[in-house]
Amino acid sequence: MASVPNEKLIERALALIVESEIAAHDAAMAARLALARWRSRSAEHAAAAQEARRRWDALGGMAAQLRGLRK
Amino acid sequence: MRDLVQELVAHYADLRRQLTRDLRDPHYAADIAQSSFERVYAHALKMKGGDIRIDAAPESTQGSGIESPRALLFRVARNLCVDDARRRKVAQDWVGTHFNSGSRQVVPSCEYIAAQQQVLARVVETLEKLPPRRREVFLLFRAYGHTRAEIAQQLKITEMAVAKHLLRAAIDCSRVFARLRSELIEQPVISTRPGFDASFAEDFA
Repeated sequence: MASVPNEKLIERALALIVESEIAAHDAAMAARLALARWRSRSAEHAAAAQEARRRWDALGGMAAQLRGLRK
Repeated sequence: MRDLVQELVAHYADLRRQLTRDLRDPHYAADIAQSSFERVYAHALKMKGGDIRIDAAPESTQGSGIESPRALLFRVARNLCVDDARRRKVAQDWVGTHFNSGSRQVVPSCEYIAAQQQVLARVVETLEKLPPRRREVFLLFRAYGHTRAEIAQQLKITEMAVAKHLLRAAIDCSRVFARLRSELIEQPVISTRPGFDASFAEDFA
């Protein structure tokens, strides 16, 4: 099993992902650049960003499922 | 490098629009567009001088010529879509092998359903414990696709407050996965389903 990225790093990556998703226009692009720079710092940062993205995507899938249940 | 970034920024919106049309899922399209952007940007960082015209895509297995950043961005996105579809197929096959007791069942096994429900139940439990406004912000954004401005208007709060609520909710829900992972190390279970990132299966295996 691959080593699990540090949880603090995952949460930092998640914060950058959320910012890049929720910001508008230029701010969103700045956030995406910040995320790209952050993840290129080290292999651990890249792994944390990948894990954060997985979680964010999974939460999106579940949120969509909850929306279906609400109907 | 500044020129390249500006050019990528200029084409990013086009890419996202096309992916949204092709994939029919704005969040998935945003994820692919973001990943494509990051890969091209990371590739450009490795290039000396950040020339606008850069070599073929880092992921590419075909072609070795020079192409424009726009073409590169779109090609990386296409490759990511293909890779993702391949990964999902592999994960589905894996689940089929491990949870169908060797027989070709059409319906998912009890263990498979239980694993899905366990993750969803934990996330729902977490959402229920959130302050109502925070929960609402999360669902409006992640389930209904509203923008920050729309949510702010609907809930009569500032856009900054929307961002803070969303981040807090995302982190709280994210911790469900960390807790489950530590539990599942002792009792391995796989969880994957449509709309749920199948790559989690790798961690739970």
